[in-house]
Amino acid sequence: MMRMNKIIPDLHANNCLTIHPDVAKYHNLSTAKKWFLRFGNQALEMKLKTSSVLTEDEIKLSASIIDLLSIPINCRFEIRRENNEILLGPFIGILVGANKSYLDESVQYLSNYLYDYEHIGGAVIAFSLEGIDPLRYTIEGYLYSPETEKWEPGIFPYPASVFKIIYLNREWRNHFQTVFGHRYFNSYVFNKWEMYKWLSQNSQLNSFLPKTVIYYAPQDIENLLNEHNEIFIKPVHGSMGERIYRVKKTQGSSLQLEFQQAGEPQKSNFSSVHELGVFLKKQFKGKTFILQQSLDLITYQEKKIDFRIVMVKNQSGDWEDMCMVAKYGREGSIVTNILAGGTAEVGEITLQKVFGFSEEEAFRFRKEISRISYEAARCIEECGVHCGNLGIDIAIDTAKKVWIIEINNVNPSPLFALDINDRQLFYQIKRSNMLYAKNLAGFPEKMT
Amino acid sequence: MIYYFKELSENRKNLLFLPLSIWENMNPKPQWLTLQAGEWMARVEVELREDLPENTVGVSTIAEFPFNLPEQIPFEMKIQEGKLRIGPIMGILAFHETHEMTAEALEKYTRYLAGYSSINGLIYICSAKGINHSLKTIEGYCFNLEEKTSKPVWMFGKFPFPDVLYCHLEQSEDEYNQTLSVMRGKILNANLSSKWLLSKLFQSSIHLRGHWPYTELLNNDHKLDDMLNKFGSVYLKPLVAEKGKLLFKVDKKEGSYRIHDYFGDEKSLNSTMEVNDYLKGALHDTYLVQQAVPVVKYEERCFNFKVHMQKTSRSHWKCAYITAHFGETGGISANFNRTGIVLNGRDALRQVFQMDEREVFKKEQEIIELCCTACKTLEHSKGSYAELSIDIILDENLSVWLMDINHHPDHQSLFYSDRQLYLNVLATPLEYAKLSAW
Repeated sequence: MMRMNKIIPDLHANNCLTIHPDVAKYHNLSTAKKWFLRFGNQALEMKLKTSSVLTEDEIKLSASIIDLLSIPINCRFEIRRENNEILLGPFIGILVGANKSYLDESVQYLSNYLYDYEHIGGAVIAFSLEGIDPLRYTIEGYLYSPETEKWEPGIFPYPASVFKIIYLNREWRNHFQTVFGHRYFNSYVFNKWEMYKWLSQNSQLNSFLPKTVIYYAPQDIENLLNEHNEIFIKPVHGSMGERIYRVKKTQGSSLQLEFQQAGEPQKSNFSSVHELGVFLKKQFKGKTFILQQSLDLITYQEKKIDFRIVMVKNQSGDWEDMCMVAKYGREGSIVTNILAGGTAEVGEITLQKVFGFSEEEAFRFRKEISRISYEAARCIEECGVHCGNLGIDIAIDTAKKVWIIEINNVNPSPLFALDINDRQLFYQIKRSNMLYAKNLAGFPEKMT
Repeated sequence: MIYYFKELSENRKNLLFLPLSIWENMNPKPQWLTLQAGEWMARVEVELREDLPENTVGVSTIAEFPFNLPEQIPFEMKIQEGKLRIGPIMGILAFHETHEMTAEALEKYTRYLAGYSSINGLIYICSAKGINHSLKTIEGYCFNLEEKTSKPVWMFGKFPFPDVLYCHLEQSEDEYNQTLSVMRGKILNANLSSKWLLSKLFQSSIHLRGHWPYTELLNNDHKLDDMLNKFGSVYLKPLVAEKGKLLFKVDKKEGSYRIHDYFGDEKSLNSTMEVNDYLKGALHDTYLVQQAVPVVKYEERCFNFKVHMQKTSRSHWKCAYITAHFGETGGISANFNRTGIVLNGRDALRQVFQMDEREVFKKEQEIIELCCTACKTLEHSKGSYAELSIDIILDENLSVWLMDINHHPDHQSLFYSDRQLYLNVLATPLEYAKLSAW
């Protein structure tokens, strides 16, 4: 636990930071040394002083420093020593969308990330790509005011770390990497094929992956159908159960395609893979798609079930497995997405229901899923993607074998916690996102 | 990778046989290695045995082990710098006397090992009396899964001193010192400091001092009055809590004193001298005088929260769960007996304080952060703990106060309310124990 400090503008002394002597002692800060004060990506040379007139929760800062570093004084800050710098922070940015108009509409919904402002603290800004001025290093956006609990518009310097919840093009990725390096997370949004390539290289994970190939020609469908009776066709980029087709061979050599249109299950028949290829080309409008071995998923009352594991990094930068949610598809549906009309349940309950597991068996099965999820998260990061939250979709087949179906990292929805009626968990996930951003901003969890 | 340990008939002493799978990866090929199991170590000659299955390591029958390494136990292995280490070897010190380790008592510990398949190694339950100091062995029962049925079984044996000893019982100072003096390895959850040392520790922390009721040693005639003038109301607690030693509450209002004892009896006195005289008769040992925090009662019941903190397998303190304990109606403390009630902590916050979900969340985080700091502070000065349970109360202003710390928490209340959480909570300390020692 760290103390949050209130900033008192110092109108007399120039270029000075004044703190209580016990606080200086606690952080091992000597007034005899030379210091820089850092706020976000700016630093300023200044003089450190101590004064017993202040309380341990107060920081006195020269008005000139407050102006030059654009420090919002209605926020409460921690200080931390790093080499010859005293960090004031955390200063966190949330990159919410591409346009200002989207930001304007959605910013009010971000407040629940800051319900535990007491422990997150600092200055938190929400911004859009449009609001960034990469030449002046300024950002037009909103600052969270802990006093009013509202977002107030303004122009701010670059923060120390960024929590990104949108897709970025390469140009922006380069800019963010240049400015923030490892201090921004959810850095790159990978697609289904990249995930398969990365995880299949890992000897601990490849047995959990359904066979996947990228579609180049109709023959690819034929080849995979020779290995597996049934396959899925999915866009490499889509999510949320969009445009997913199931293909199987029927009697004779014709192919049956099942999919969902406007929420209703549809079926079509094709006499050859070439005919199917023409149809798919039209459906995917030239976009890349993958073919994937279909699995004999567990069902309950004819509803297909798969699972979402919500993985979130905490203030120490470690992954935490927050929950396993079972997603039930609609009766007869080929996908289990909750948005596609399914329902949800606490995963451990589902395991007991479907397999008749005892409490101990369910516990052990769940632990194994957790182990696989941690390994998958580690593997993804080893492939160069800096993540802070991941949504891992796990399937279990009727032979109790676990499969990794998909991993979501744009901004995997914490709403899964609400689907199982756990609002506290929902808040905790959001809190962890902010605490990881705090870690990256230079304020990791203290060990003592 | 899992390995099994097998004794092979061979006339030479102190020989270690490696299967091809291990031998192939060793460069250069060693002639001698140090074999380590728990605290036990010996120099052994190394030989390749191509007929060994790839997951089996052999030792000559007359290797001079003063202990058993059961052949059915799946071990992990670490080879580095001329040392081959098998493990993890973990002891759970759960009994004082050997005869207390009955089948029934051991059965209770089976639940702690529901996650054994992700831990592996030799895990044994033992008693303080089963420790052989000269041979450095411990008698006890080790955990194993029956090969065919995977049913958990406990096997009696004599085992090496472990990589980590997890204390699961309250030891007397002597017993504890003896354990400490022989175990060079890690000890988890050893006895906590006395309440007075705990007070001194927390009162010196800038993060905790405002959250721990101010405490002093009652060592002169002015102390009580000084404390009463400062706080209006104090508790007198025995320095060493033992049966028969009583708790008192003293209030001072407009110059007159009221003393309540544990049984609910009340006495009014009018001067410091009268109070001191009374206490001289009532207190037979050293006492502490502690600021009484104005508690909130619910339906005439005192209540507190127990915050169950555990170290994760990633070595961070985490709150596993919180329970709220309501004492009997009219009592002066939240000490619980038959008439007590246990609620889930969040439900208590909702019900007693009428908090909405957001307020519950904020208060819970505040409680957890404070408890985390307390755990870290304690560990920093006292040693390693895999779990701690912290009693806290909320005062009239909803400020959080740490009241007590317990290092052998009971999780039985979870058994019926949330079995998955229960199993998780029992498994976590052993996962941490492995991390800390292996």
